[in-house]
Amino acid sequence: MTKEIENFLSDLPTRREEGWKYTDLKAIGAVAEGAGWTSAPAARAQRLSETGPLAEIDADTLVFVDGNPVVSDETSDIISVMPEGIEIAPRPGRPLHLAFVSTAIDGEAFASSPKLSLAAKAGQHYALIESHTAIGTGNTLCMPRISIEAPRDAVIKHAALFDESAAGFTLSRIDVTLDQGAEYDGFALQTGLGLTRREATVTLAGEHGFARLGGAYVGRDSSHIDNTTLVVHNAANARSLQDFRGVLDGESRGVFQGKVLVAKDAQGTDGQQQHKALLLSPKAEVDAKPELEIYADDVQCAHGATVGAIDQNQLFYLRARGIPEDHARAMLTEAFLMQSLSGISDMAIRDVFRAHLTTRLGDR
Amino acid sequence: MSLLSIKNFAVEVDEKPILKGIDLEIGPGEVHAIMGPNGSGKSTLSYALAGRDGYEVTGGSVTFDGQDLLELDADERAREGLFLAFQYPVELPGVTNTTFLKHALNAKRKHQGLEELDALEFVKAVRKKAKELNMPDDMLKRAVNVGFSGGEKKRNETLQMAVLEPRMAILDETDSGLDIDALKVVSDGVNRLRDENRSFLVITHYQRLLDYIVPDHVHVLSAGRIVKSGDKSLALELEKSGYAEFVDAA
Repeated sequence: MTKEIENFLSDLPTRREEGWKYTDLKAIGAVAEGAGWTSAPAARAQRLSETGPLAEIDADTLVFVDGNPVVSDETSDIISVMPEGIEIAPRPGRPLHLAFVSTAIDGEAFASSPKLSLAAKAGQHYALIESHTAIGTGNTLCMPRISIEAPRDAVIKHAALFDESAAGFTLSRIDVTLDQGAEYDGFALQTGLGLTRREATVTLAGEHGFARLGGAYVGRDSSHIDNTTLVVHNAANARSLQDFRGVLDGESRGVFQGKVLVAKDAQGTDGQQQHKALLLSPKAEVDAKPELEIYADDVQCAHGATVGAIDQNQLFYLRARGIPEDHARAMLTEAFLMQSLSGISDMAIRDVFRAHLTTRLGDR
Repeated sequence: MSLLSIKNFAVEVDEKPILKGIDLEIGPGEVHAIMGPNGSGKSTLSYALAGRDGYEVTGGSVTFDGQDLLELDADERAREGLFLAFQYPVELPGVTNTTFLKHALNAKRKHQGLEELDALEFVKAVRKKAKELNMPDDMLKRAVNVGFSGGEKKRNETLQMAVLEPRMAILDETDSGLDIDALKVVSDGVNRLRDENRSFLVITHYQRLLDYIVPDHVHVLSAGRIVKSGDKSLALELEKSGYAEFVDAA
């Protein structure tokens, strides 16, 4: 295992820490004390190609099997594996799919912390796809860390799918830095059964940058889905938009901790943040903590967080038109989440996500 | 035989008696109007017949084509052919008009043992009906009632009625919030659906609507009871004298 994971496991964050108040990692510690976490044998890496529903999007595909990169002919010239991490130079205009697949079977517990840095070129457009799926049902702890540098006027579209098994722990971090006029447009769909935490930090370091963080999630059974975001406005006249929606059923739990930080010199900032959750079961829970920290005078910032159940007026309206109650509830739930997908500009990805959401909502 | 037979119907909302024994017989093809002042129980009657939660039936009976209506859930009533045109149509963000209509129609067809319509047949049928109501195709693609004007919402209710072809339609204050042009479009839409089998219960505060949808029978509802019944001339009488006499009497 990497030093980083060993350090992490030996000193797991506890709920006493502000940023981990709503996400309990005790279960990770329990595995460590039981069978124990190990690194997956590298050989394992060669045996699969299953990367989930996003596989149908035509893209350069870089597969990580239990954290180990599988470098193919397709990707050998865009990645360099360095001791401190993997450096990636994505091709402008050609989608790049980072596919994290876990294969651990019962009795195994694989931990990994792949570290990736992506370097974009000024003025170029990139499409990044990220997926986290499981084939096995064993314990996996994946702690990917992705950092993206977007120089002047670069545009990065990023679509991520988290669809792990019930025994999967995914603690992912993404750090994006945007230079002047650069744009990051990210959307994460989270439908896994295990514990997923995604920390996204975007720093608007140049004027007229634009960042969007969008997300939709489906909590079911006892899944735990945590989105922790930090958008830092360090430069003037930049814009950020955060829009997250979640549906929680069973005994699932959703967490949204979103912060917008506007530095003193970041005049003319426009920072919007919204989180909406729909609770479908009395045992489901959501915790939302939106925060604004503003040091500039001339800004437009707003945040909103709502939690509710299915609207009884809407439900009655559908039933009054002959639609059975179960069906009506499903329609309203799907409609609630689908609205957030309209933020995805790539139609092919939007269609894949829409179909996947319908499947997962049906699995509840 | 009556299509809808209401006998001594009593309903409470939040433990407060609102309807205190309504008797009403509506035959096939008949149009009945219920008029009454605010608070007389008009909307309670329409919601209770449609089967909305929170409207507790404390007495009496309602049969629909010989079937005990009160035994059925709201969606079963609709599939049996009862339609409520809402006074305040509900917005459904994220659900397009086409999707909504398709699900509703197919639910009904399934109930009737008919095959579901394929997408092409369905769109063709709906477009034709939308056109008759002066609704642009664009309105079919938009989310149900979201951003619609008052007139558009009522036209949309009428479109749903035209697509679902109910046996019995209850129009709850369909005229509220409509200007005269919209009122005409909606009334024309309703009149096109009148035939010897389909019945209507038109609930309204004002006589105006009844100039366009001419009823066979008019009833005055006051304080939860029908206090007077007559033909369409009763509506004109009320327009002159107002409801004062009935409010006092009740």
